[in-house]
Order: sequence, then structure tokens, then C-alpha cells
Amino acid sequence: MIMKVQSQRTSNRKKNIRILLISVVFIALGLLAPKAFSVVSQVVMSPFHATSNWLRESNSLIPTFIRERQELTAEIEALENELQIAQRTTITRQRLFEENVRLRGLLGADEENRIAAGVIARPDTLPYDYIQIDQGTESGVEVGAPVFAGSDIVIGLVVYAAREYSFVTLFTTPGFNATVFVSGPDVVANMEGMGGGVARVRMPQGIAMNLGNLVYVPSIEPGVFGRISHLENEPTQPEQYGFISPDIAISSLHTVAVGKVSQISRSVEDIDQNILEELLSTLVVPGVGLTVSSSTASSTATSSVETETEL
Amino acid sequence: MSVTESIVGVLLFLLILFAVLQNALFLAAAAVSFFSIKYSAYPLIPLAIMLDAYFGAFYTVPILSICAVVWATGVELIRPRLFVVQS
Repeated sequence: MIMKVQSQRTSNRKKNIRILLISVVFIALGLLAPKAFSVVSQVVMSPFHATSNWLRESNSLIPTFIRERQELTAEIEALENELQIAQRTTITRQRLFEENVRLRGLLGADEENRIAAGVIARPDTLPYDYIQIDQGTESGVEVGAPVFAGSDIVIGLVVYAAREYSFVTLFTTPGFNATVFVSGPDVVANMEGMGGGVARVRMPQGIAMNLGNLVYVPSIEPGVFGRISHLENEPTQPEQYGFISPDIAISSLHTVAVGKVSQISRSVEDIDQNILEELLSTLVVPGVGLTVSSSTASSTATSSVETETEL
Repeated sequence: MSVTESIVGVLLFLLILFAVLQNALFLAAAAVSFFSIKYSAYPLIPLAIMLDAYFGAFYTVPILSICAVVWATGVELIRPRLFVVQS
């Protein structure tokens, strides 16, 4: 029995070696005469080649099914990857939002008064890029106050305030100019209203402005205006244009919030002037003069400095 | 070997061929592994030589054929031991 098994193993080994040797000889022949092998393989493989092409290109049921299945599988994989990335981004966004709320709370930036107002007339009854709201000076609406749609999307300014109603001009009004900050390329640019619910930012060529870049109005806090929704970039022109249309259509505006004029930043000179006026109004008592005298002396100095200040 | 096994073997062989032609290499690898263990790795050598000739690999280095020879040697060395352990 053992002898029989051993002889079977020996014969198997011999067979294996023979097959491997024949294979090696064939490979060597192929290397010596690749052209002949190619011709033979083309003839032998022609039906398989045709079938493979049919599977790859045909519009028949089975190949289409296989291809679509593969495409769908690839799409599912790509979408799953995108979802993973988006989930991570959402966590980051939430963390940043909470941090922002906490910091704003620490700085006392939440004490912001807004007036809720309903939109009572839109561009179908008013000229385009104007809206009328149902709150006026009685409610504290001031000319020049920013108008928000949502919590932080600023859409325009109050241009006229009657007792019970006001008119708002949108940033997209023709001829309206504002300095804006475009995130992404992180540049300050001039935005001009084009009418029809569209505003335009112009920039020199070479600045990487992209679709979806956020446009802020930095003089108003918080002042997101919208996203770049269309680009016009002719390489032969010195400037490129980004068109912005607000995320909320004017016809969809139902309620807005009116901020305070104080939310609009002023120039440094204005701020200095305001501070001086505030100091004068609170610290100076009419008819009373204050004299402050101070002297500085040191043991080595021979002179003294005397300053006299009168407010 | 029964008729069913033979038919499955032929279909598997064709699946390997089309998987390589369609560039579905993971499917090809799985089918090659299964075919080698279930049947034999030797039929894969002529297939690899044919595919190398088809893709013009004999003008440079016939990697597929060399891999097939190495694979067949390895599998045929392991396979008897595998079946002894199984039995």
C-alpha cells in the first residue's frame, strides 16, 4: 500500500515537472517568436474579444445591466465617501458654531435688537429691487438700517421710513455700490447692483474667484450677502466678474428683520468724533472747569515738568 | 469529475478570461484562487500564455505567464497536503 502511494506521488511529481517544463519552453518560444504568438492568439481570442467588446459597448439588456450595475456601485462608493467627508465637515461646523456662540456671548455681541417686519410690497407692485415693509419710525426703523433675511443674510438698507411703513432698497439695485469681502480668494472688492436681483463683483484677472465663494458685507455685522453663482472670465479682458444672486428670491420674502443703523460700521474718524462727543456730553459739566496739575521730579534731574490740562 | 463539475469548471475558466479582459482583476483573482484549489492550476498556464500573447507581452516580459507558472508550482505543491489535511 505504502509503495503504491509513494509511486503515485513520484509519478505525480514527474507529471508536474513535465508540465512546468513544457510551460517554460512555451514561454521561451513566445519570447523568441512574439509575432507568431500574437497572430495565433489573435485568431484564438477573436470570439472572446468580440464577446468582451459586446459586454463593454453593446446596448443589449445584459451588458447594459452589468455596466449600469458597475456604474451604480462606483457611484454608491463615491457618495458614501462624500457622506463621510460631509459628516466630518458637519461636526467641524457644529464645533465652530458653538465656539462662535460662546465667544459672542463672552463679548456681549448677542445684545442686538432687531425689528421683525412683514413684506407688504414686492417688485411686482414696486420697481424691481425695492420692497416695502410694514414697520416704520413708530417701531424704531431708521433710514440706513440694514435689513436681514434670516439671521445673517443682509439684503439691503432702509431708504425711506414713514411712521408705519418703510421702503428698502436691495443691494442688487442698479447703481448700488458696496465694498464686499469675498471669501475663498479672501479679497476685498467692489460690488455693484445690476438690477433684476443680481449684483456683480469685479476683480482683476488672476484672482482665484470660484463658484460658491461667500460674499460678505463687512461694514454690517453679521453680513453675509450671498454666493458667487456665475463667473464671467474672459482671458483677454483685464477684469473678471462674479455674479451674485441672493439665496432667497425676492418673491419668497415674507418677513425680514430690520437692524439698527449702529450696526453699520463707521470710519475711524467718525468713531473718534463720536467718542469725543460722548466724552464731552457726559464728562463736562457746564460752568465748571477742572484743572489737573501734575509734576514729575527725580533726584538726578534738575528741572521739573509741569503739565496743566483743562477740560 | 461529474458533468456538473466539468460545466462549472469551464464556466469558471471563461469567467477568469472575461474578468481579465474586462479588467475586473479582483474578480479574476477570486476566480483563479477558487479554480486552482477546486480543479487544478495547470490549465491557467496556457490561458496566461494566450493572454500575454494577446496583450503583446511577449515583446517585453510575459508577466502573467511567469506568475501563472509560479502560482501553479506553488498551488500544486500545497494542494495535496491541503487535501490530506481535509481527509
